[in-house]
Amino acid sequence: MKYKVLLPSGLLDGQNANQLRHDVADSVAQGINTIKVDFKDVSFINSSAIGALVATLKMVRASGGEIFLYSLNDQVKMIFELTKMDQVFKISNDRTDLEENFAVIS
Amino acid sequence: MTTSQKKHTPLVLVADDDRSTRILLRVILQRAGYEVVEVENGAHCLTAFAQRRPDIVLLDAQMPIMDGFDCCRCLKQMPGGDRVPVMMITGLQTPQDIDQAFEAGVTDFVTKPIHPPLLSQRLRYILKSSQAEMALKESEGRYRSVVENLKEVIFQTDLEGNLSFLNPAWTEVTGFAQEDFIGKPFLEFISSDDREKLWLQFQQIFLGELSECRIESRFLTQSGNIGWMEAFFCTLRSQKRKIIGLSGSFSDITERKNREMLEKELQRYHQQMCLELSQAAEYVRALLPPPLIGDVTISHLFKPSSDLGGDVFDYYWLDPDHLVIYLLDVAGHGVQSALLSISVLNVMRSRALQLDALYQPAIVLQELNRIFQMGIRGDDYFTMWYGIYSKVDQTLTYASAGHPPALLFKPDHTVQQLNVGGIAIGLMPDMMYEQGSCHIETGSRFYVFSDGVYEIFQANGRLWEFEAFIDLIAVYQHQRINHLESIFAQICQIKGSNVFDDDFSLIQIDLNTPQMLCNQNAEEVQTSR
Repeated sequence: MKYKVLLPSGLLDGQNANQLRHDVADSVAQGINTIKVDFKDVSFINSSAIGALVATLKMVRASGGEIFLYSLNDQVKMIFELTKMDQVFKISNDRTDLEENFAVIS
Repeated sequence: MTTSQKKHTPLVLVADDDRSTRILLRVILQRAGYEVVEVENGAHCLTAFAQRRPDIVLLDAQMPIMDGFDCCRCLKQMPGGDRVPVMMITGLQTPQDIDQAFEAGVTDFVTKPIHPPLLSQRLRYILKSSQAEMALKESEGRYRSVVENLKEVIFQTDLEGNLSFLNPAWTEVTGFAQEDFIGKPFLEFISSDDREKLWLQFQQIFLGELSECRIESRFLTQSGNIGWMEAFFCTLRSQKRKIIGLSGSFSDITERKNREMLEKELQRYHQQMCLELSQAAEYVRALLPPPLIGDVTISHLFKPSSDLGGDVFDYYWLDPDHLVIYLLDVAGHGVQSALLSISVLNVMRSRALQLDALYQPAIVLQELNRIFQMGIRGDDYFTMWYGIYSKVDQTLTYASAGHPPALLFKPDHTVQQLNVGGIAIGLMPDMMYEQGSCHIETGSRFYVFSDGVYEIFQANGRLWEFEAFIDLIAVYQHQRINHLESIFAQICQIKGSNVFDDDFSLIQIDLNTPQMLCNQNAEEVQTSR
């Protein structure tokens, strides 16, 4: 199964989350709609980035695909929990965990 | 002794076919402090000149192979030959001989028989003047190279302002040929907008009212562009100190000037933006409710961020028993966020929602989520906390759309987070929201706020934490401090600045006991007196 891995880094804000949205859109256009986003290098995420991520998620799901997030640091994880985004996204602790949880994409 | 004699012993090249004359000359010259090289004819003299580079040449007029006249002519053609003085020694004294000698390029001559003191004196004099001439030529050359290689234009004008001198930088800067402008008014190449200003300065200089001035002005280039110059002018005087015009220099500062103008333009644009944002912030502030007094006391603190964060809130009695409190925070910053927050406020206030719905927090959020679905960029959504308090039941019912929990401080000093699941409004369609409720006894206080109050980067670059915010508020409850400003001041201290990246909105709601109400009334009476 084909998938795409994205590795954003630093402070994820509206601007670079929108860049991520564009990258995902390109991938979906090429027929790859299973997206893994590795958060290990993301230090912080603001509200604009969350909006852009959700917009990305909607776009991917509309194409029949899915986005998986993993390796979120504690701070980022807490923001996802506070905003209840953990209920919307499929989130795993790390890559192994992700492959166990969602066998389809290993 | 001259300066150069201190540096080195002058070298004299002597050319004479007569051996005894050569010996005589050597003795005289060495005694006078010169170094001597001897040759016996004109041809050898040329070779020795090229090899030894003498400071002066002594030539016998009559020599075999090449006589003194031919030799002198050849010397003058050699590299450096024109700078070295040649003294001729001759037995002849006819006017023709003398003419011939000077025509050949001789500097001076002495006659035979040789008179030793006269020869040394003559030599010293010739050497001195030759050195002085060389020094002058050198300094002239240096001066010329400075003037010609300067990036700065140097010019002079007469009393009419007509150019009398220009250096080559002129062509480089303006594109015009030097000769085309000599004799023409300097102002002819100045942009017409600046001519009058410059002419006034010129006149003051010509009249002696001003000795110098510095000015920035626009000039025309040959290609038809307008450049900027920084110019310096000063009085030009004759040797008799009479003013005969002006001297000046200018350099091309077009690039710097353009950059400065661009920066100014950007600054103006930025100031305009800031002004508009602060006006928008004032507008938002004007929409916020005034403090509430009575059974329930509400005060708030709203500090919009410099680029407007999109916070807005409201509270009011829906009926004599039910108090509505809500706060929403639009994602992102700027006017776009503020506009969305204001339109949500308008929807809430215009009672676009069914009155019954307003008693049900979950329904309110569901309805708003139905109305405000975000666009594809995902930058227009908001978090919201909505609560309704029933005075009769002493019950608070609330729902949250991805918003930080409200904090309840009970009379027994315990803290409860009023939290319930639900994502921000606009993100996902058809969301169902939960609602929670709790009993709140009088004497309790609770806070509703936006994430801007705790999601702050401290001076050390680390993010402050929600738990730390709860602790800070708890300390204030113990101390019974009522002023929100002091909470704000302390958070500013933690941040290390009073400029926030996001709106800071904090609402404090006190559910008063009859005793507190009494105190409050007493306070009011006191203030009104």
